Amino acid sequence: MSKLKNITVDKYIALAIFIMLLIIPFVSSLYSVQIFGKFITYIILALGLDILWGEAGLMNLGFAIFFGIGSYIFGISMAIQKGLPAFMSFGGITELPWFFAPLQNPASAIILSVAVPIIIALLLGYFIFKSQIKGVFYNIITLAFVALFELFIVNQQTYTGGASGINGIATGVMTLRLFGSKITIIDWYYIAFISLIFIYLFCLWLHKIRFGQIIHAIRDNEPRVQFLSYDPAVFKTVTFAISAAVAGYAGMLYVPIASFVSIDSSGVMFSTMVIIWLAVGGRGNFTGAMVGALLVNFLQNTLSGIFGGMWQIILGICLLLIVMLMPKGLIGSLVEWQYMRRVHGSEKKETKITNREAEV
Amino acid sequence: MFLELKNLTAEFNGFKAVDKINMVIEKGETRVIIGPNGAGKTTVIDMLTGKTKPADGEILLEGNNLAGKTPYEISDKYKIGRKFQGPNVFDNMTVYENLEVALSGHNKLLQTFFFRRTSTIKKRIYNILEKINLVTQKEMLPCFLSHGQRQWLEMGMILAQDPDIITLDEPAAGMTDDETYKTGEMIKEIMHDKTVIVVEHDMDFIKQIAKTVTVLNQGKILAEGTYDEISHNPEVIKVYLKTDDEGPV
Amino acid sequence: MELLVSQIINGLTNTAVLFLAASGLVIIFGLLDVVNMAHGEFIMLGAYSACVSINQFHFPFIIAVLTAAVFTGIIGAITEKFIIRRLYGRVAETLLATFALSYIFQQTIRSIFGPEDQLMALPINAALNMGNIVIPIYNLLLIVVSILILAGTMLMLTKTKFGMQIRANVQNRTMVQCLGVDSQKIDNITFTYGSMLAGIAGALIAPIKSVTPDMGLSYIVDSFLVVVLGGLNSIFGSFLGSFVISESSTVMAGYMSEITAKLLIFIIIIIIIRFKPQGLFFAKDKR
Repeated sequence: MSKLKNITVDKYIALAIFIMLLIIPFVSSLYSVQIFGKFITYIILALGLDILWGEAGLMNLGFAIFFGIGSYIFGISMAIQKGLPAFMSFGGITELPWFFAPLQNPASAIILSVAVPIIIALLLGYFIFKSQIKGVFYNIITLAFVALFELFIVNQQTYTGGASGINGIATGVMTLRLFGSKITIIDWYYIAFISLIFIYLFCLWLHKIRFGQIIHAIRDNEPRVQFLSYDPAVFKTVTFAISAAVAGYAGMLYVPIASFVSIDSSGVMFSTMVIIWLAVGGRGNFTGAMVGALLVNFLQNTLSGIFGGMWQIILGICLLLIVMLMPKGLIGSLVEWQYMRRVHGSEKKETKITNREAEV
Repeated sequence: MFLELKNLTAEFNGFKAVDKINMVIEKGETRVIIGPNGAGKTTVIDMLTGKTKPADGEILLEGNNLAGKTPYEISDKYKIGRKFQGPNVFDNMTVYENLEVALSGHNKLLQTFFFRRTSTIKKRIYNILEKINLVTQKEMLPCFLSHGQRQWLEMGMILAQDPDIITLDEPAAGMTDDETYKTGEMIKEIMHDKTVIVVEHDMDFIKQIAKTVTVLNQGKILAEGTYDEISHNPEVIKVYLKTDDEGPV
Repeated sequence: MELLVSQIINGLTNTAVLFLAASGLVIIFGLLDVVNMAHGEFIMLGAYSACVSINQFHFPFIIAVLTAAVFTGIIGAITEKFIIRRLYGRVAETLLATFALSYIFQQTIRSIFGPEDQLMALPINAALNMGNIVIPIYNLLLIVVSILILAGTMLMLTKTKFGMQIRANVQNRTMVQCLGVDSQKIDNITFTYGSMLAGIAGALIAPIKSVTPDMGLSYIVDSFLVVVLGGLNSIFGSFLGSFVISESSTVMAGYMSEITAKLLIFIIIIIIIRFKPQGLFFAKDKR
């Protein structure tokens, strides 16, 4: 009983989100299923950033890059299922470039969409963290990296579809089969939904285990950790790779649901959006990331039609106000409020505390 | 010879904070380093634990040179632990979590994923909590503890880390007399089978714990000997005891 | 030989542009410990205000530059007073807040002027002809102005009383306040100065580069590369950093696309700081 009482409010909110996402396909149109399917991949992406930012304190201004790599890999794989896609033949190439050959097999594309982000994160993390690049410098490098990635993708039109993105994905997705039958959009929705639950549980596990404790310690007081026989660079690099894997996986899931990949879902602006989700929802409890991603995207979807360009200014002002007045975000502030209430409540009932001590 | 400092030198922008000091510390010894402000005491500890790279000289631990190695290598491979000047703990983690993070023997990357909180480990942490008098505070965040209790928490972290050599940088700084005495007893009791190097100001405290005292002044060793020898050495009295208002007159 | 000379001159022009863009950022960081993520947008605001002064009001170019400086200076002063001042010492919050600000500035300009490129005529059309090498006078002007800003800022910081107050304020706020100096005012003036530099940079860049609502991004990324290479708190280091990056990318661009060149330089910089974490030049520390 006391254990149930100790569950923090964020867990209930997470449960409510899951229930809501579970029933959406039963009560709404196929169009809404697609929209919410996209939101689920965004939520997974936000969880990935929360592992990095919330747990290890490493804000990443270019996090969408890993989502982008995942979605480009799977997107290209889908686009080349039925021969050379239009954007490649327009570019003047007549046969598939050798480096895309592994993508002809969708299964290996799925593995690569997670593996490539991991490898890039390990390499980048090794250089950044072993060089003791910290704080602002780290942030700057992540931003520079995504900006150059964006330029690179847009520039390599022949291989990436450039600014207009990758077309012909839908026909590739149609060829995929699970247990002999075609995977519908509803199936993809539930694949994403189940993945989300597993990744959320994975995050909670990561938060609890010793590895999680050590990255919290690094976030709190990195110099001190070094004197306890841990190399912070190793732990930060691994955290970076884990979060990149989650983001790459989310990017992969995005492809069959959205049927479209472009720089809009992997560049600087999108990285900005991920930061905004976490700033709004709050970091470090995973529910904040989910609420932020869902809330901001839902509002964007409904309000951008009404307010047009003004919507983004409103979003910017909201972000500014939240940063100034509620730096822990919506859910972070809520959890803190609940904690303070409990502490004050238990002070009044001193006896109850001793009872609990005895139980433990 | 267990631990030997050979011509150890630290330089900051041309200024020699520590200038060619030589020191031999035997296994199981409790050594106190004293000296006026700016004598280079903390810098010696910094070099020993890898925080500062020596400009010159060697730190030999059973024949291995530690000079210039990283802090995590020194704490991991050579088992040297450190308590900082002024408590340096993890403020957003509970007392229990602080000790758990410091716990030795499960520090490799993969071990941190498969670490299980077995009853042996719980018992080990509980024992440490008892030794540092923080059993009832185990679920508290360190920011709610008193200054003395925070100092003890960091001592507890060192116990959990279980190093062979313990360096303590002013473990009694900012404590009440009663707390200082308790701390001294703590050091004597819980660290009796370890090599301990203490940097301290408080002469009563030094008298309580030390057998051998090394006096540093302006980066050089001024004198070395027992507490009685040192406290009667005219040169030491001249540069340190009389000028430092924390020492006895 | 002629090609080499003209490439070097081109590289110098790019150095000037990059240094102009980075200088305000470096000053604000070095003196206030604030990374202004909206710095690129201050450059953008400078460029737009110069365009408006010239295209709408037909002011002479010099007045347009001054208008840009005053405009961004005012915005900078307001930003410091109402936002940055409340967040000193909180790095993540400052980043987020200035990030939000950059978003607001960008969207505001986009909703007023639209996403398209603003055109601005070159104020000086003359060019210097030396054999086969043609150097636009305007490019020389950019080089001269950037050297003037470098020299002026360094002189102001080291030789004037106000500069000493600024530097003292960085080192020991409490002491400076005890000496009767209003350190809040100094913070405000420093931030304003950095913003004005961004405005001047924007106005000077406007005739030769494209002026769009999201132009700030490319400048802030390049400025950040400069800063990583040259150190965040050394204005001379950032000058050298601009020089190295611009010259190498200009020369490399002869062999590959400019973007590939930039990506390569970025990778090289990352590898360099692996082995020389203090930055190539005078950085004192990395935070």
